Amino acid sequence: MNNSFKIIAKATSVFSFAFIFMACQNTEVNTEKMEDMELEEQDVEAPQSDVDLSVTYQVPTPNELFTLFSDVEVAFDANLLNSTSNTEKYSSNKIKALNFGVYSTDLAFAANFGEATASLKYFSVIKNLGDELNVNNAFDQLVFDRIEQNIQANNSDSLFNLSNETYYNAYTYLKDNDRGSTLSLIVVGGWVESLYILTNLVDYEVDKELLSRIADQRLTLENLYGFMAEYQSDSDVSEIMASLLPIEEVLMNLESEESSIETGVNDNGTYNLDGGADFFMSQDEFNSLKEAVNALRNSIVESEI
Amino acid sequence: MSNLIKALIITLFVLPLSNFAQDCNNIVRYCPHSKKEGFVFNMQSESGAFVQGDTSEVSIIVYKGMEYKISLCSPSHPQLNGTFQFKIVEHITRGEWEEKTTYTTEVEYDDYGLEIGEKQIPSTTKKRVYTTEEIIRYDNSADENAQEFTFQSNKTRKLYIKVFVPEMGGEQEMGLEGESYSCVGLLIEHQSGVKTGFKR
Repeated sequence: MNNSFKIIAKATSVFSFAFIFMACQNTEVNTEKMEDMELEEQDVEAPQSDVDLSVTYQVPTPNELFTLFSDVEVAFDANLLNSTSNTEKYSSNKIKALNFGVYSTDLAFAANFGEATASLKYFSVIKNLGDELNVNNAFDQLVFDRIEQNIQANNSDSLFNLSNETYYNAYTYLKDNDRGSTLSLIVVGGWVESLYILTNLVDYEVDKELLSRIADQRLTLENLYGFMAEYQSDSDVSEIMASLLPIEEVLMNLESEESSIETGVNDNGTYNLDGGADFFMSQDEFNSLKEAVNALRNSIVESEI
Repeated sequence: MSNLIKALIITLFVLPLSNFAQDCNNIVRYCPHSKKEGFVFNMQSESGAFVQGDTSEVSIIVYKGMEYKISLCSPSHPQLNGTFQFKIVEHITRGEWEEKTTYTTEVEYDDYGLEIGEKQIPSTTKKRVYTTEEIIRYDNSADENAQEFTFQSNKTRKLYIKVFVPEMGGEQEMGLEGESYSCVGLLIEHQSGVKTGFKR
């Protein structure tokens, strides 16, 4: 199989996460039994598998994740954001890139709730970090002018779109300039921060929908690993991959319940994808996840990683 | 400026001037979008350089309750538009307990401690066996070669998009003469899912 959506192909590597890949086959349904592991009764261990680097793995942006706030009742909490004064602590490119991702997520969170003042502050801090990382196409004066216009017009939708746009500009700039390692760190920083915000917003007993969305992040984690695998020869990337293990350990061992797979077609020609696995998180699992996320997030924002 | 005009400008002036693989960067931005239908650009969209006959695979995450539209285009080689083949595939992994009984041999003694033979001692272990099925959710070749796929999902799921750029014969092939690559954009768009009932 050619890999036309990728420019660089690198060697396949093995990770410990529960990621199942099956090579492209011609058959409609292809079944394969994974390598077994002898386990004690009642022990459940996730299967191990390779990342297939012929596949391009995409990771949704924090902005896309935060659109879920239209379906759940949560309030903006400024205390969850990384303080902009922390930038003084960020000296290495690794920590700058990670916190570029963190601040981008904070911006998406603030913009999603129409928090104009906070948004402008975070646009500014991201621009400065972007300059230091030489990601200089994401923010020009035009973007800032538009941000200010939207803040004056109290247009939260456009503010959200602008935060999306700046993230995408940075993303494509790094990708197009073969700076995948920096990009990986930004994406990880952003993902960890989004998980930090979600786990600290959720009330386990009340917000079942939000809890389910957090459990869904296991899928994003799989693609995140796939995305980073291409750049793991970079020690900064391999180190941050290793630091995700405590989070992976919780997310990849969640209980699931299967329902039958169905694909339906509506009268207007659109499709419905139904069925598949629902993942459930116990209170203990949630606590473990929150603890692991808080620890990693704090080590990133405090520059202790 | 409309997307069509942008695409024309790129086709006529930009792409022939420099290296193709380089110019395929972010080409997906020039694919016709569905903004009027309420869709917004999804950043899991991808751009790539293809030769005819190429296949490529992209894994994306789609969120529960959102509506997505997936389409393909080649702003650099419009003659390819309408010919793309793609499949949307989901890998379903199921874990099942499999019981396995093994036997060990022990020497058997009578009441006086004399060896009287051997006996088989059963030992049962359980193994978790994982089975992965590759389910084709959509195949445009079974849908009159439709070039876009619009869907909602009742769960967050990981999908694989397998894209194939077919070989083109005859006059159509002439358009690609002298060029190794054509730029292809995999455009993914999304919007909040359509609600039904009084909230709609």
